[in-house]
Amino acid sequence: MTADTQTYPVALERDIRPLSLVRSRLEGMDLVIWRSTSGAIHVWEDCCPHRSVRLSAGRNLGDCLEGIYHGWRFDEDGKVASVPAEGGEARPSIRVRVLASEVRHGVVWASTGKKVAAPDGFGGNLCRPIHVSAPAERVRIRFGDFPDLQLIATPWGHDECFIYGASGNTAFDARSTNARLTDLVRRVEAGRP
Amino acid sequence: MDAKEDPAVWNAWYAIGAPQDIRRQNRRQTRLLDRTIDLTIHRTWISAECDGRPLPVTERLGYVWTTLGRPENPPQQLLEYYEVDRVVMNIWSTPLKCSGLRIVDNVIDNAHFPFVHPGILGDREHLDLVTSRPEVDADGTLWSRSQKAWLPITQAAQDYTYRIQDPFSVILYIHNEGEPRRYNFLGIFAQPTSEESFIAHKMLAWVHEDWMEPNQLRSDQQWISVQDKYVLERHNPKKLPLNDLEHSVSIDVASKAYRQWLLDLDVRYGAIR
Amino acid sequence: MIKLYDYALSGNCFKVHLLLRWLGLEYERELVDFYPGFEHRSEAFLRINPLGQLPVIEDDGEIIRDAQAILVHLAANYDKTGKWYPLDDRSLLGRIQQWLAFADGLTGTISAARLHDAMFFDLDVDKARAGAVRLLRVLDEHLWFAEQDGQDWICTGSAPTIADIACFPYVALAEEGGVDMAPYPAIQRWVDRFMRLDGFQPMAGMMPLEMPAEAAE
Repeated sequence: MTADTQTYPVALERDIRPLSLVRSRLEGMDLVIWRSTSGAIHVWEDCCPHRSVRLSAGRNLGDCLEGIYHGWRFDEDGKVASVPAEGGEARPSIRVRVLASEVRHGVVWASTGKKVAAPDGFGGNLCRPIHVSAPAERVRIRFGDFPDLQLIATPWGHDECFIYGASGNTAFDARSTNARLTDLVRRVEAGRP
Repeated sequence: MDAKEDPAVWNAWYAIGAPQDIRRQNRRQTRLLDRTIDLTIHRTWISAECDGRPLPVTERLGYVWTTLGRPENPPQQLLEYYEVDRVVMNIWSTPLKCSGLRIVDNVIDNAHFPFVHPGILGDREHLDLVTSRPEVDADGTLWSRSQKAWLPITQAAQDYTYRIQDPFSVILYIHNEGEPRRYNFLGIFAQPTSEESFIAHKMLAWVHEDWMEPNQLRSDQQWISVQDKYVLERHNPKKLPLNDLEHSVSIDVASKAYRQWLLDLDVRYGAIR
Repeated sequence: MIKLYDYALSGNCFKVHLLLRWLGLEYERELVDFYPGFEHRSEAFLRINPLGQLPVIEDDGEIIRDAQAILVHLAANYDKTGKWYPLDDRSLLGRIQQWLAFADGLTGTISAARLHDAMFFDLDVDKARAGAVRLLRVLDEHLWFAEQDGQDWICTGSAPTIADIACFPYVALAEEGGVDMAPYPAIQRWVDRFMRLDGFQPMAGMMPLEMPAEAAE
């Protein structure tokens, strides 16, 4: 996996449950990810355009995301579909920031740029995604220790990232793989070789 | 930024704690506008210093007030606080992780009641709000009078008036049905510790009624504050935007007036321009 | 009638409220001014609980302290369904106990950070938050693999137990202690499931509105 691609995993597709809101992060931007009743998955900046409260603090009502502060409802396109205090009127000119995203290989990919381009050949059995309190670069240099896995470190911020992994190996064992990756996280965070 | 560059903020009075809390916890220090304030507990009063410089202090409305600058007036007053038939109390002093300007913006907004305080301060079945035209009086105080919101427990519209004398504080006048011309008061005094953090000091001064039990009143008010905290600590940015970053709608009359008032005072500390 | 010595903003007291309601038990509350009054450290309260902690219950003349102990007492004595603390499933009791102890660890880390951040409690908050991260990572991993096995709750079984009640409040309130919860998506899914339980009512600091009902899968 090349490090200079701007497209990164932000969640596993199966972890985006109906009527739930999932938090993630990408290059310093807080994200909210949700699945609407149409089945589509949406990746937005986690910030309500009204008073900048995290959208992930609200509710997924199926056909819309409802902010917690004033109950504003956002449709699947990220436009304000209802302002309760104004009789439920829509304000389509007010919208959230929608990120370019796609679902591929069972993973939700997103980009802070204009286009999303999930890499080919990432897939198979998916590892448990793991948070690391260390910069992505420090994690990536260890990926050579895992020739049996395809690994990507999504940069969350300067000092944190999230490891996503996949294996095409039929003998894949989720728990032991998870244990190996957890060891990696411990070593990286302790600054140990 | 350095608060000293912001005259409206620098030259204001700030509540820094309740005398009994300071004594009980033997509190010797606090933070105000990114500075350390040293407190000395005397027998009958509490004094404050910053870098060895003695600061003016006074006690009123249940709190010790001080300033780092040179205010034109004494700290805000509310004479009704001292009426003998009132229950008065310090609800609490609690730190919050956002600009103190955001709590004032939150207090004067009623549209969040059905969502943040469902069943307590509002409900979704009664979303009609009545706003007013806020005005600035001759002393520069911002008033927003007679905002109405549905109060579930009385099943009637509750009338609120807000008084903002300083950028970081607000007093609510809750119109009392039983006795027109008398109000129940709540004071929220923000002590900005940094641009993105503050201590909220909350005061209650209600006309006594037999059903009132102080522990229950305090508990209810703390509960409401923590419900607001769920929202206040989830703002990003933490500072209050005074530019067009946030989209207001027409019902946001009070919030828009407050933000304009801050702009007119050239407030920049804790804000985004 | 059961008497609960209570502070409305205490996550530990909230655990007891939850189970009392789910068991359909009537109770009276004795409000203790934890903050800013520090009433839990008063002589009068220390006579009730020498550890000076909330919650405490008084049931039929007996005083029981410690949130987890109270959960065990209530479930063992009053739960007609036998689901919250399955006394007849001895293989489960040890595991439930493991997570009750874990919940106590959450109190010592997350709740400590929360008391530091919200009420000026003087303690090593960096240590508290680091301890919280350690525990939350363990819980997140545990719940992720439980989900892979088709389990919704902390212990195996089709229903939540007092292990879930014990772990829930401080996890849900962790951000008040400056603990970022974004790294733990499996925990958030469990929190969502817990909040959807019939009869669940949040305390201040949690999402105040009803979680939308689970759609048919």
